[in-house]
Amino acid sequence: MSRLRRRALAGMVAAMSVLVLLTGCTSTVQGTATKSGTGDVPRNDDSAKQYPNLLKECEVLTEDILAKTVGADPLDIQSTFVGAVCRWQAANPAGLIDITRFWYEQGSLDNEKKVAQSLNYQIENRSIAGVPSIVMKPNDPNGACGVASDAGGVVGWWVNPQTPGIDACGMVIKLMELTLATSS
Amino acid sequence: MFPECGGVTDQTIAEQTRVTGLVNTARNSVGCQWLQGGGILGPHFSFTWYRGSPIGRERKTEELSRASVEDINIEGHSGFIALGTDPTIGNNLCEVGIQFQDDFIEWSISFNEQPFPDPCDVAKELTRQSIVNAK
Repeated sequence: MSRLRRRALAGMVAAMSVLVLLTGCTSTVQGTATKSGTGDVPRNDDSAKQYPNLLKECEVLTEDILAKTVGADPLDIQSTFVGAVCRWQAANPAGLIDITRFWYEQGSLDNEKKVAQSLNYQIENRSIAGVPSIVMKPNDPNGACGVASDAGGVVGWWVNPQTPGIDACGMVIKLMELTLATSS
Repeated sequence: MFPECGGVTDQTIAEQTRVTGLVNTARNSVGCQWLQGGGILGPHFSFTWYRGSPIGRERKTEELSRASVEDINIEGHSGFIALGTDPTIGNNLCEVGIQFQDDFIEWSISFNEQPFPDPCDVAKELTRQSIVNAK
């Protein structure tokens, strides 16, 4: 969903952020941890179902951390798209960088590998924070690079620089290390 | 399988949106995003392929944020069409989500200044082209 710049939505997002701050730090939930996407989960949930974390999921990592990881001032990052896919743009001194984060809770690393193969990307298998992952490199003059990891379905990051000479693969691997560290 | 950007070229985006100077800033396995001059201050257009992700959640987000969300069917595939209104420039935003088994695709069309074509006409046409381009 496009991130609107309307005042009404900005107000709602701000209010929800406050709510997240107030409620996000101290809750303890009892039970057994299970991997998302397993069990009796319907393949496509009806929209009437409740999704309490609708707008929160882009905040898996704070914008400050995102900006620092791609070499931008924390004031120079802006969200452009929210949902299961989130996009931001950050200003690295060398040029603008677009960041994409995806979380396909009923997807799989195997499926991401198949898609990357069909798009003729260069694929490298590797372990990130002990989690099976792939690093994907399209034939992009600016060195775009993506990563996908076998966690909670499949989670991934892309960094698309608008100028050459930026270490996009180093950035996405760092973002994934941070993501896997915070989702335990 | 969808090709990159749903198989839609930069030229088609320029023709459909009638916006000049667009840059494809986030071309990858998730989708594509076109921004004027590569920056975020102008209009936003994007294609996104959600794999193994419920369309119901995205639709719910739209229902919480947009002026209207309705059912739509394009080329025999069903989904939603969401319309957004800006207090000063009118109906400037349209997002179409279409389900494919466990996946869905979404085209997002958002203008920031007049004049602009009907954003839902643009979103529907680009969605139609992407469905036709799917392998």
